[in-house]
Amino acid sequence: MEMTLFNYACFSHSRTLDNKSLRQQVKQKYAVGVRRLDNFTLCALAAVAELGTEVKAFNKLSLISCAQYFSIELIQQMLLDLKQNHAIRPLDFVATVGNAANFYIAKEFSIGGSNLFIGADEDALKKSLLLSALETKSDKEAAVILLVWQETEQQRFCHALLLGETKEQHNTYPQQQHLSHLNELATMDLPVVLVVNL
Amino acid sequence: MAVYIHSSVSHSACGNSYLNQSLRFTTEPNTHLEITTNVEGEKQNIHFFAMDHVPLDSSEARLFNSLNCVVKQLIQISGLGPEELAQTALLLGSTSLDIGTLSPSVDKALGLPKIDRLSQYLQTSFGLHPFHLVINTACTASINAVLYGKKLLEQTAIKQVIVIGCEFYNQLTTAGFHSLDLLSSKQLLAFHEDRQGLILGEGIGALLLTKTKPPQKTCYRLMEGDSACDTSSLTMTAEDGSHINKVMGQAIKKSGLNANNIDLVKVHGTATYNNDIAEYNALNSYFSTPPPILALKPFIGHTLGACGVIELALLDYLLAKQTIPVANYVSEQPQNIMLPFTPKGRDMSSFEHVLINHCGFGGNNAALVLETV
Repeated sequence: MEMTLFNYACFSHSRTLDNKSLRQQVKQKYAVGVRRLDNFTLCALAAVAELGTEVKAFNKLSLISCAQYFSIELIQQMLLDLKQNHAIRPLDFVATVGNAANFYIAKEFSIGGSNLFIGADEDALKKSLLLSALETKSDKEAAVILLVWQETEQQRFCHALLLGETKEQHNTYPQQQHLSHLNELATMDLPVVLVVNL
Repeated sequence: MAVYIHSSVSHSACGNSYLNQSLRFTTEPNTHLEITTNVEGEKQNIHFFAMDHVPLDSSEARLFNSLNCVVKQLIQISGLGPEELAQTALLLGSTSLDIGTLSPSVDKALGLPKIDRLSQYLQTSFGLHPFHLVINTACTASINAVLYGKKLLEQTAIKQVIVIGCEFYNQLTTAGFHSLDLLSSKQLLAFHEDRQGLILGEGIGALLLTKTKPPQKTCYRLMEGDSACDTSSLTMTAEDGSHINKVMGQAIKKSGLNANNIDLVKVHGTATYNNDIAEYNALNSYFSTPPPILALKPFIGHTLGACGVIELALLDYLLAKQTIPVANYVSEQPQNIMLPFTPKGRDMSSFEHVLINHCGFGGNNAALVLETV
């Protein structure tokens, strides 16, 4: 299956950066709503903002996001609260729902199409690209914003890809087969036609 | 290309659909949980629909054994051999996954297991195709897994897809829903004017999706579906039902049908005040006269991300039966029922087109049309 990668952006932050500082940083740089958002969501919000105005060229947007872990800070805190018999606060609980980040991103960027949060570790990029291709094939109007989080002990990264159906006029774009590493994207000349298979 | 529900297994408070016994459709929750309230740490008992015949705890052994057992049963009844399993992708939908088995760890930055731990376990255990992943979109998780499983079959070389919906008892979910004041202390009265909220449930559903119709049996063909995000609120969909209306409408339109072709609606029906109102408004605005409805959560509780697949597996089970489960409160208090329920006396197989409806936290709404073939 083919689809066109129109744009790519990445945002990263140190895992030691506290929530308040990251909120300020993201709010100042991108002028997006950050109230109550955790670092996991803020990182993704910033990555989509980095894609710039190109996302507005599409009438319909879908969102597919892929992570290895849930928001670790949130889940750990909730489990600690539970262990220590502290009352669970409703908004904290709701924020641990896997697709909470997707909700805030969809709201900020007016994404009205499909909205999936998936968990994948091995071949995460390949799997999420395949789902994105299924989406662009089945809904030809929709462009897909694909988000892929990567985490290490030190850093959290969120990669944002703007993808759409490959149209006839895209035949002049270079083709990229078997994209398997996110770091290849940073140096790639875009747009490019991605070929994805199982 | 046509995609069918070839075979199914469910294990919930109703029982295990693979065992040679009838499922018990009772609205009486089968267990009680004790949770600590915010008022001076007072203990309170709440109802829960636990998996039948599986002692309740939150151990890893319980989770992995029951999951393993259900998938093994699905493979047995569908007759898939090792070569076919290697061509079978796995999509798993759940809200809380294995969270009940976890302990907090403040020392480790990455102290949690990966999200796809359960699908990885099943893929390895049963020698499935390497394409496995977890879909985590709250209460629409496993219905979304079905929608994307269908697309995988239609657009790739994959031969079969196993779709799992699973949800297991855990303290965090229970305490979280309690904090949101969404739990009923009595029954789960879907579409009753005096409903008090939901009762949580757990369970596992497993479906085998194939491109060929299973021989010698009536089954469901998956027509088209739709899934989209309602950004009006993180916790609930628009109360006027406008977003559910839009998603249902898309699913029906993409299926090449119109409102008059829908014979039955399997509602989401959580019995929370807002969700039922939103769904009620959606059905009343989309249909000139809403078709009869079927609600399954009064019998199994709200199994959150698993409900999409568990409830489809129950519909598949009911296709071979002569009765449809309808909760007693529907016939006992007809004046309080907001939408017409299907009568018990009809065969499930007599409904040609069934609309499946689900809503979830995070603004996710999803719908799917089934055709009885």
